[in-house]
Amino acid sequence: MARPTSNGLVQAMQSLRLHSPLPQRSCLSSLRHHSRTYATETETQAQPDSTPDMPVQAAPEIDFSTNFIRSPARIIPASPSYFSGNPRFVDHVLNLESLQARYASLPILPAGDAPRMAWFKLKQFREYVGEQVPVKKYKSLIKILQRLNRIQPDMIPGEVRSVLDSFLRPGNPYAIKHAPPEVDENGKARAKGKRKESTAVVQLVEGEGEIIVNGKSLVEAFPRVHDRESALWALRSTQRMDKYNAWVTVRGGGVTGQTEAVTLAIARALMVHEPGLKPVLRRAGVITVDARRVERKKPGHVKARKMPAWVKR
Amino acid sequence: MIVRRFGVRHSRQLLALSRRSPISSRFLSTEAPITTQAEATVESTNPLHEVVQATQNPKSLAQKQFRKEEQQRNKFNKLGSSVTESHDPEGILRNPPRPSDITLELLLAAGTHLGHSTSRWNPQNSRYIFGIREGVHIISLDVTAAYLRRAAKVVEEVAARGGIILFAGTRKGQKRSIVRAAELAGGYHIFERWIPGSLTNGQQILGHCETKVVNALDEELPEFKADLADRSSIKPDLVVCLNPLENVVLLHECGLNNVPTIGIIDTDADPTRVTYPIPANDDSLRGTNLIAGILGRAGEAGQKRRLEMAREGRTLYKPITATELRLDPFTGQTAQTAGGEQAKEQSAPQTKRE
Amino acid sequence: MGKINLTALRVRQTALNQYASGKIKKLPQWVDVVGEIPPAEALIRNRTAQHQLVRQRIQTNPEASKPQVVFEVQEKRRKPKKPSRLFKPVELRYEEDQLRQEFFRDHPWELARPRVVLESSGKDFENHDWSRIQQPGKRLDGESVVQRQLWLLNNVPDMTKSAAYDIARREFYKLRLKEDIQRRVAAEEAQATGANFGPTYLEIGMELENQQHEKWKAWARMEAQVMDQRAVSMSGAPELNMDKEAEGPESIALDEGATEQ
Repeated sequence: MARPTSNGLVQAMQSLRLHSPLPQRSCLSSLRHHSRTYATETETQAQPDSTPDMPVQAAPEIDFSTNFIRSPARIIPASPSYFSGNPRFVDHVLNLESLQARYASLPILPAGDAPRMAWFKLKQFREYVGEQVPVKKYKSLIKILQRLNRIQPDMIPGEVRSVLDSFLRPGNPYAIKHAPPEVDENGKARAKGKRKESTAVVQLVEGEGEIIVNGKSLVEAFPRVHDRESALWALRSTQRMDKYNAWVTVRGGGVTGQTEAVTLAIARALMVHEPGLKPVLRRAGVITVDARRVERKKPGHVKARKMPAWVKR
Repeated sequence: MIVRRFGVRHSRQLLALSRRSPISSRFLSTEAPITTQAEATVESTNPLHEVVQATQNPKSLAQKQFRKEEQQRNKFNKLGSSVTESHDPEGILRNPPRPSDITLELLLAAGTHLGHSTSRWNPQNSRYIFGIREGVHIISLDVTAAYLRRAAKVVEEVAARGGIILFAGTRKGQKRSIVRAAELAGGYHIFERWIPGSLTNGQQILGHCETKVVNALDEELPEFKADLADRSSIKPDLVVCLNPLENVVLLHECGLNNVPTIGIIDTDADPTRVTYPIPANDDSLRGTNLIAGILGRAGEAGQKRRLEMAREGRTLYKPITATELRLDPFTGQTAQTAGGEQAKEQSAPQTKRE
Repeated sequence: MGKINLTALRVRQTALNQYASGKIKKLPQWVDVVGEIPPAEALIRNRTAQHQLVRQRIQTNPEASKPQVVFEVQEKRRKPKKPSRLFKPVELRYEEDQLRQEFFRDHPWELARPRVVLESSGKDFENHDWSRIQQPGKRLDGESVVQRQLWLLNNVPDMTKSAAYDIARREFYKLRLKEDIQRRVAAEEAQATGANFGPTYLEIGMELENQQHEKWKAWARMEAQVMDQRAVSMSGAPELNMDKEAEGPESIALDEGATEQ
């Protein structure tokens, strides 16, 4: 052993070995019989049989029927992942991972062919486990669920099936089949369209090309030619201008939004009358929903992206 | 308390979910909601048994195909040469060696002797270093073995005293070995980021996590469930850290809370951060898996010893008493004096039992 | 105490002090464990292990009846060490390092062969007997030559390095040749019974190169055309240019002469 570098270190090291001011506990007394100590372990030390004379402090008299079994000994965490902060979630993940590993050899379907399942939404899942689960971690859990779901449906083990079911949200939204819209008994087709902040509802009947928007004529409602053109583009591009009458109600937004909402609604209503026009309308670009909305303003910017002018001082 | 309030707050939404088990049981039961991976892997039967049984009378095309492949595999399994010596990387996880199996060759094969580049060393580790080879420090394996055995002994003794052992390994790829070690040692695991403040600010971060009261045989005692409300969060009695370099916060909190620690100290780590250093390579997953497995086995031996003693009616530790449990955590008085008549009536038979 | 943080090493002392002062009501379970198994003294510096290169040789002595084992220790440098270097680890050196270096300098392509470095138990060396170069469970490679040479040096009387190298190398070449013949015979046998190995790597490489060349030719032809057209558009109408090309260089010279005039 070399010399320690400073006097303080010597003291520190010695103080580690100081005996406690309390009576020394003799729990490791069995080990004192061995001249070799802990540096190397031997098999005999690990066996409890070699320590018959070990004095213990607790439980002086044993009454198995009542006292010992029914008296508390320790408070321990309920889950081995207690210290992770979200033990229920971690336990779920570990359970799913073990299932995935166990049934990895079962035949699977191609990714797109698996039955569509309505897993918990993040919010629902958070309520289910009662913990604040981060988005990313929940996504990784969903990935495991989807892999398990890809096992051949007639070969999924019952265990996996029940676990998968426990992650489904109530009801099956993918089982609901929406009835295809039809022309009603008055020969009227109703459809909705949205663009920006505007919403348009169109009732389309066969007729001679009269369009009424919010109770006004088309020219009154949309004074600009361009707006009128785009509102009726679905009829114009299919050359049905003089074959239908439309009753349009449009609310919200500005003129461009309203006209394009009307376009979409008319196109949809037209498809109800004549489903065969779908490819034509698709090429005309009137049944594609424009999902763009106003970008939010950000802090530090003047608008969504505009930065304030740079000033030197 | 927090858990119960949560149950009240969200009960309506939860009632809407058509779950089979009642909500109350999910919030108030102190049992782990599911069996962990660790418990599940212990079973010795073939996991595919059920599936194979189901395909005895195959109906669909997929079942027929699977059955055919299974039959082929059984048929041709014994053909060809038999490989006697092959490396099984899973073996170290499934069946880790015991502390008595530690040999220098085992440590060498696992690559625990490889340190870091000489320019990155921490001079406090000079006593663990055997020499320099190709510009890399080589850790002395006899020292590693000695320190590993010492650490294993500590884990075993703490487990035998019913201590709470936390295995922490937050590097990528250490998850399985950590979970396995915790499962063997009856301990706890953390394989993702250590949330800073889990010890120093435990009530905030771990307050909602469930705890339970167990007897000496580790059976849960549900009658004490109500006494667990408003208790401070549980602190580990021993922390085993596989990557102390990344877990400085964890080790610092252990220092603040006076918790002994065991850590794998590479040549660039500071050995004074942990109470019991194990000088070894912390960058090789095989090495860390080996060390975690050995410590897990040591913990397993300790738990076994503890349960055997408990079956004889003895404990190496001082068990918590019912009166201690019933103390009001704020006033430090018993529930009888703090509460009203009802509390007195309830606790009377309990005190008699003692 | 300076920069060194002793909190971790002093857990037991702290716990006892806290208990004595009444800060904690109950001693932790680990207190006697830490007392019985104290933390290692991590701060004491030892002189690190000093390594010397030792060579084992067997020499015949005319006086002695049997050859004698001689250990040659490499002369140490007598240069005084700085005190600050006292605790620094020293380089590990073994005799076979030099042998290995020499072998791979002479046979650099041996390094390109795949090699298994994985060990399960770490006890593979127990199965190896270097009195012969082939080992069960180990593929023949450069390391075999090095170990064989070392064995010869350590165990054969009056063996020199170059002689040992020659012996080991000759054995190695012989086995490599044998392996090669075996492989060729096996391939021929397989082909005779109908195996088809497909194109060789060289053929695949040539094929890829040819493809690239064809592509380049197409691209170059296109580029040439484009350049021609650009030149035409700069100089004038395409018909004119065609005429000029047909007429040859004299007409261009004439034109130039005309503009000059």
